[in-house]
Amino acid sequence: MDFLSGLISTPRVEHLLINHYIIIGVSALFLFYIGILFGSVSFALLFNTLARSEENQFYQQFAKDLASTFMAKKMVGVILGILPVAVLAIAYAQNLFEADIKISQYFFYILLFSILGVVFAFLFKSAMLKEEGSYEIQQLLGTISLFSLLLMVFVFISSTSLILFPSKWNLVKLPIPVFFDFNIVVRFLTLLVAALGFTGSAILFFYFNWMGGKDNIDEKYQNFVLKFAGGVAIASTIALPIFILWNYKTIPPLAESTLAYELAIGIVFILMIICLLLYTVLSKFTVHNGTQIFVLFIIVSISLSFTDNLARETALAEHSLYLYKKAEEVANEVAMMRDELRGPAETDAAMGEQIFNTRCIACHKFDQRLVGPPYTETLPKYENDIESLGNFILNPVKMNPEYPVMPNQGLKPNEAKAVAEYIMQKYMEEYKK
Amino acid sequence: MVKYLIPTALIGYFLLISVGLLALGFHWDNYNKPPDQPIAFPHNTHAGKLGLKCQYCHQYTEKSMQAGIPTVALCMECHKNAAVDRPEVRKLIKYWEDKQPIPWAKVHTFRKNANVRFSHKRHIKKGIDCETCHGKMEVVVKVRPARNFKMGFCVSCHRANAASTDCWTCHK
Repeated sequence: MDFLSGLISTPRVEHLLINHYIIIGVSALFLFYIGILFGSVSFALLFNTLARSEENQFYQQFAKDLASTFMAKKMVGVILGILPVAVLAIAYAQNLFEADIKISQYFFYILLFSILGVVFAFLFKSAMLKEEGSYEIQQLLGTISLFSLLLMVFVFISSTSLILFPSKWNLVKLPIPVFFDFNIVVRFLTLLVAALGFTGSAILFFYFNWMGGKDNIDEKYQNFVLKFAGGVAIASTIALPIFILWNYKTIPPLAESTLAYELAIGIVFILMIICLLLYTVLSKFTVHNGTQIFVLFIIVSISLSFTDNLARETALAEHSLYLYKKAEEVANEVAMMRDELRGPAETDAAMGEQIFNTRCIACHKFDQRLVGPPYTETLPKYENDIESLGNFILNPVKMNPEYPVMPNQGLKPNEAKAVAEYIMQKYMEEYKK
Repeated sequence: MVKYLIPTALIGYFLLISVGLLALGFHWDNYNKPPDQPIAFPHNTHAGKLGLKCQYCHQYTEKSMQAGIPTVALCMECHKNAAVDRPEVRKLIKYWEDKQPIPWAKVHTFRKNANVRFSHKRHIKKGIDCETCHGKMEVVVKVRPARNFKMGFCVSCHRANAASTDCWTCHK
């Protein structure tokens, strides 16, 4: 999807601000959904295998329930599992406009693996729900889905984490991000651990709380689901803080900020509340607070996405400032082009005035010494030689030892001519005695 | 008693992790955070808005190993008259009147025990942009190391530009 970078023009300030929220919101939803899909496929595969070797009647039922509950609607799969990849590819292409790295090219692989992951998850569901489904086919379809999702998450994490390492941008020459950093592995593992928590909380919510809970469930089966999902979720809440801490231990200093640490402590606090809620679920064998747990896990997903984006934005701070500057320049150019439609004489005058107001005015006044001399002192000698004034602006040299040498402003010849004409005209009309 | 043991242990565990995060944040704040400067010099105004070339102030970039920090006198060439009412420029004028150098904090540095001998002159003569190592200074307000200045960064650039990667090239 490298062609996206070619299609993007200088983003406007509004685009950059909207991008910020798009990346946080879409990443949070996308990773939350993919996390649940990954967890449910893994558990369905696990229990489908266990059902063959151990004679526990719940295993087969639970594997089928997982398949029918979490791989249910194709539209949900497309909207939450595939579409966000395209949205994020465009958002990142805009944020990295004119940067030395183009991560949108990696989104082709992310899109490919997410399509494979989602499509094979649905095929896996169909195979699981067949009355006389073949075990081998079920396992094959589930395994392809699982590995596609794993690969997709790894490429997603490693591509978006490249932003944190500007020093390594010139090392990445291949169309797949193959460079290795320990922090990327930690981020990948963090997401897998979070995925287990998301899945555990989703199982509790959809079994016991959504629309009043599932009907006609055997009490023993209910306890089995509660124990397993609660156990997985509580293990995830206990393991996640260690990975968050590990992430901050290995994160490059360029991506660190005081706010990031404060937010991380906030996430650990939310995880503590979830953990205590899950503890009451497991100790009392009732799921009255499944909705709270599920919502809190969604908040954790948004917070993780927010802190991740904060790290990327901190690392990219200079580039973002550069884009804001470019956006301002483009806005000025557009204003100039509008002026151009009014005729050439007005165009030059408008260009001269604009350059004077943005560059010259910092050091020069007409009737007062500032950094440079007043124009009333310097312009008289150019009154009949405007061309020399334009040449001086193009290539300034030291003229008067009382003043510092004027820095070259890097103007084009037509710009230097326009500003020379503008200041001369203003001098003649307003300041010449 | 036992009833409260597990929840208390869990709370203790989460608090311990929070303390760990606080310690990491404290370490970053004190040792890795970009240093505060005695004068909040805006590179974005000078190198961006005014379009000054880096060498206008860092005058030894092409002539010496060190790029050089501008002298107070060089700053005063313009600031005798320019923006004299601004608080940060007032600080500069105070240094000038007291005949004191400005104690700028070093931002870009190699690990002390790495014994790196880096020459600005050689890199500039080769045509390496300042931005390659220092990032986009024309937009920066507070300067920080834009690259990590570890060996991988230097060696990869040396390889890309067919420069020597012999240890003695950089380490003495």
